Amino acid sequence: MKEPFVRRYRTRIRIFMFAILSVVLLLSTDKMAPVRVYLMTLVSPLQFIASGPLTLLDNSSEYFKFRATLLEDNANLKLQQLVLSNRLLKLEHLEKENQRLNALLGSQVNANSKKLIARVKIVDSDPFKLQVNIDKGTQHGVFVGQPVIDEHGVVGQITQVSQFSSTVLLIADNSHVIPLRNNRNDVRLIALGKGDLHQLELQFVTKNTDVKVGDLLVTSGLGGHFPEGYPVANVVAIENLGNEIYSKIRVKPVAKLDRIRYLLLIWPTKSPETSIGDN
Amino acid sequence: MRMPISFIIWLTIGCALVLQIMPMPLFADSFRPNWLLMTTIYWCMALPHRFNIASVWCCGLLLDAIWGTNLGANALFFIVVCGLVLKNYQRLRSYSVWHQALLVGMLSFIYQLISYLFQRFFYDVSLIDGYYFSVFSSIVFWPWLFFLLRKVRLHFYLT
Repeated sequence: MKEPFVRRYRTRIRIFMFAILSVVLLLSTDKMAPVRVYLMTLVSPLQFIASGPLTLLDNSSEYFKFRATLLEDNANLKLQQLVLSNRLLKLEHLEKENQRLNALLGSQVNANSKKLIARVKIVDSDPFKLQVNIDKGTQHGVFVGQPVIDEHGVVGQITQVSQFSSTVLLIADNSHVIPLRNNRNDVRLIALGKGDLHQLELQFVTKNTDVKVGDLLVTSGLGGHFPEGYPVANVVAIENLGNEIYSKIRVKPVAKLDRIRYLLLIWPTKSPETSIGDN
Repeated sequence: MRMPISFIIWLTIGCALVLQIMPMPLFADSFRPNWLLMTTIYWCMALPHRFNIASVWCCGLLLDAIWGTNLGANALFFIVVCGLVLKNYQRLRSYSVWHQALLVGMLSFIYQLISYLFQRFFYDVSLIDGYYFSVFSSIVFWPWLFFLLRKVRLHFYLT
């Protein structure tokens, strides 16, 4: 008669023990990063299987395209290439000039950095998080905190890595904040994600700050995560409520966060530590 | 054909995980049942001596890893929900399938609710449209999952 009661009691204790273990895991999230790498590597085959059918469909639709469509695409791309290479010529000249001027001023020079193209894996993730999985991992040198951009602007940063895949937290996620600079007048700003793919919010902007609708905001490079000068968002609406100190400014990301397929990972250049005051 | 029992169980868990992250059309996405939670509940109910609270915890952890949630969050929610199942598995077994389905719906609601409250508390998220629809689809899909997994269990003589 005693046995079932003992067992039930034991079950309760074990449930309680594992609940405490989970809470401990939750509290030590930062220290668990290496464990996370192993776990993600363990489950990445499942992600591969899950994204399989849709990837196959995607590839086959690419394969069975009409010849006319391909020719048209090709012509368009060639035209685009011409325009872009023209702009690139001018850019190279400007870059050189900029480097010379920076060297004159004694500030650090930003050289070209390493880049890698990654493809977004079509799998679902946490319903409350705005994030995507990509097919590059530690094997390719991806690291946590790495900036991710697409052809329009900044998309987000890497939050988890495994050997063959990693997770990109989008700038629109609730837990993401990015330091910005107004391209027009260099005013520093901070954009906070609101869980909406089409909208961010600027925080703590006093009413007399010079921000106008239509301004382009670029990364300021102040946080140390994102390199300077990549476009992030356009200002769409400014609200000034009478009884508040700060104005409410909504901005729209320039990257099309709802339809990303290919992303660009960038490696920050190792700049020589220039310290003022020494020597 | 005798395969190791735990292998079969974890194979079904793997299938559930794949279903959980499978891309779906937008209109059907919020109707995705909690596949992993339902499978876990089934094994807790059917073979509590093989599939104990440690296995439940591992399932939650796998979901955390694959979803990119904070490590331990879903593990905790799974333990809360499946703890209820493990304590009442004998009672649950004796109910009819539709009765079970309603209870699974309730458990699934508890899971959705605590995971929302957790995210609300720590990340200040707002409720997504149709977040609780998966409760209804869990109810609808439970009988089919139940019969399927029972067939698997009887076919491979899992006891």
